[in-house]
Amino acid sequence: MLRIVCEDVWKSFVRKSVLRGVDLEIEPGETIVIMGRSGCGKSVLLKHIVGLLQPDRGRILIDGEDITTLSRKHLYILRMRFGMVFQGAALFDSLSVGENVGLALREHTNKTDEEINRIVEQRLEMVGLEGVSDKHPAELSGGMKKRVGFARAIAMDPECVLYDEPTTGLDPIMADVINNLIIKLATELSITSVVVTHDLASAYKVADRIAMLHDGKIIFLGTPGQLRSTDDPYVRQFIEGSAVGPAVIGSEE
Amino acid sequence: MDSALRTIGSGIINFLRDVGGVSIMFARVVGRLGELPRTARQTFLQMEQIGTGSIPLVLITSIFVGAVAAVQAAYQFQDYVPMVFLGTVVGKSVILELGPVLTALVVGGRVTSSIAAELGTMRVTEQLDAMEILAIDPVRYLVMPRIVAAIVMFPVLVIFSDLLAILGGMFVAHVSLGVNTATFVEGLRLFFYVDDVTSSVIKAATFGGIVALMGCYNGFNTYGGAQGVGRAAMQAVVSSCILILITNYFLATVLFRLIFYKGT
Repeated sequence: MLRIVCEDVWKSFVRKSVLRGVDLEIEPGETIVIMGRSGCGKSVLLKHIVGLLQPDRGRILIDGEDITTLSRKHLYILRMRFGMVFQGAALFDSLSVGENVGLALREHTNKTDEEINRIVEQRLEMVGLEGVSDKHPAELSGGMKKRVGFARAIAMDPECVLYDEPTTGLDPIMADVINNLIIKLATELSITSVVVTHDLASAYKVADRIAMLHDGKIIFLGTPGQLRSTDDPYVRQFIEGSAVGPAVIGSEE
Repeated sequence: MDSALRTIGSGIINFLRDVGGVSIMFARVVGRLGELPRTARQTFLQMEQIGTGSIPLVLITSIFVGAVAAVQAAYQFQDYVPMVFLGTVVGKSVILELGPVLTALVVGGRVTSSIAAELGTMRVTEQLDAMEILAIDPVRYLVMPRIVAAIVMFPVLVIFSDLLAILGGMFVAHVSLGVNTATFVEGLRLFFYVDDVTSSVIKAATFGGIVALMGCYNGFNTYGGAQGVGRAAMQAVVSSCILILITNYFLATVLFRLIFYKGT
């Protein structure tokens, strides 16, 4: 299980400042949900945690090690401890489902084809998808693609899984299936989970703690119960889904 | 005035950024060449796509290029140059210039746009990020196989193109210019040097590397959805064509000097 610390993280793109001094500590084994309006920088923060983006200022500490100073080689070694589920699943089009899930095993381990196939089937079974190994991503529905993405993310037994908008674009029933899957993986595999979403129902269901990102900073951090009872006007406007309030419409898009 | 300076300045910065980006990508490929056996499967797949997939295109363009070279040469010769030299002119022009350059431009357009579009789509759909998260270096897994495959397959395609173009020229010479095959072949052999073929192969390998590198670089730097993928494919084709023509001049100068001095 990993301990992740973001210290005063700043990031700008061209002329837009997205993160303006984010401080966040993620404890080992917890499921933390990062919420905020579309375009507020949730996914950008997530990508900083695995070194896909470099901050303009600040540090990202993984178990005390600053990943912003790591070489590419060491970053790859560190990334083997992570899994990530992407918003659009990001499955490799040219590979079958089985090849997608088993790719990291094939690249980083000396396991035989039989062993890899067995692990792939086991992971697919965990996400409720059996017998789809030979299919290609184009033949799957949105929910199935997401679940294949889950299976691929946990293929290497990661210590931390990052979820980028895992329920976006799914029907409520499939969204709940995904929520249950996040809880199941967190409890069965004892992993640290970081979930980025603006789906309140999902956040309340899976989170140990919820962080709210607004104007490039974390403006709230607490349990789902504390979120429900907070007086912060920005947070209240968000959880009430109101167009009227201190958050200016269009300011973050 | 300010706006003009800003445009020129940003143009220079973009150019230098691209030169730096391409150089870094190439250096990373060279640095990981030792791991080529790990990507043997992907490399063979790319060789098939770049090589076998381009054969119909090479077939059609080369035959007609050889044919038109023969017609144009015969027209220039009129009554001043003996027709025995028709094979010489067709052979020289095809092996030294038309074969490698036209094949690189035609096949290169097909290959570089396809690479840029494929990798560009992978970029905008976060597949490249997914690969990074799986701790797989996309340069090793995606770029290296394409560059190696193009460097290997372009010379094969160019030799194939040279042969077809000469055959095309020979056919037209026989059918419509009244130059029989024996005369054409005699002319062809008159000033035939193996060094010419070597220079053709060197050019082809260089052009293959340029085509694949431009496709990969533009694909990797795609942004902005479907429109971005289209833009990346277009930029890959334009930059490949420009670089092929510029490199061709320098290669021709260097290779011609090497062959010329060796011959005298």
